[in-house]
Amino acid sequence: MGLLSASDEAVLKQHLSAIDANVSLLLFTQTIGGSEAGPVARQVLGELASLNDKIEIVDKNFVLDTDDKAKYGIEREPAIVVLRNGEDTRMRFLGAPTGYEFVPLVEAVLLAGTGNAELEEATVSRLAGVTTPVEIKVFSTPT
Amino acid sequence: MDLSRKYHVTGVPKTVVNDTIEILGAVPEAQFVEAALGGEPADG
Repeated sequence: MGLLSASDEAVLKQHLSAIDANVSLLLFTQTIGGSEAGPVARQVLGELASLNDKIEIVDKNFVLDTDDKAKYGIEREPAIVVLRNGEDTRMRFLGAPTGYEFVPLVEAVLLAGTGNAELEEATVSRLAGVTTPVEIKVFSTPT
Repeated sequence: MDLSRKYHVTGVPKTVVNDTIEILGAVPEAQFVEAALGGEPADG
């Protein structure tokens, strides 16, 4: 049974139609002895990707794909890496993006797929002046 | 769970910037940016 209702799918499909770049979602999971959130994350991404041809899921093995783990700085699973036309957007999701975490996932896919961050003008110019790396972790819960 | 313990997350949303700056709750965009870039001098 799907996680999304038919009406949710219709609304999402319309939102996602704004995407004009290819969005790849690299999903790192561990099949044996991994988190139980892994299969849930796979299902969520699968349903999201089914709504737009420009969204693809690339399965990565948390144990075996060590080069990609190092490349994308993945230390936990399940982890999702968001790429725009094959380039790293530097957005990551840890855990299964269900419940309240699903909307941020959709927003990240839209941001990657459209390149439009919808930030205020003052914010854009403030960010343009940032010269050192800034790592932002946002903690949330599915419920 | 290990990350939430490490960063003492007792409520969400909680944002942690460069492992040092903490922003609790959902705050307005301008306020969030200034808090997040606390150590970074403004351009100009």
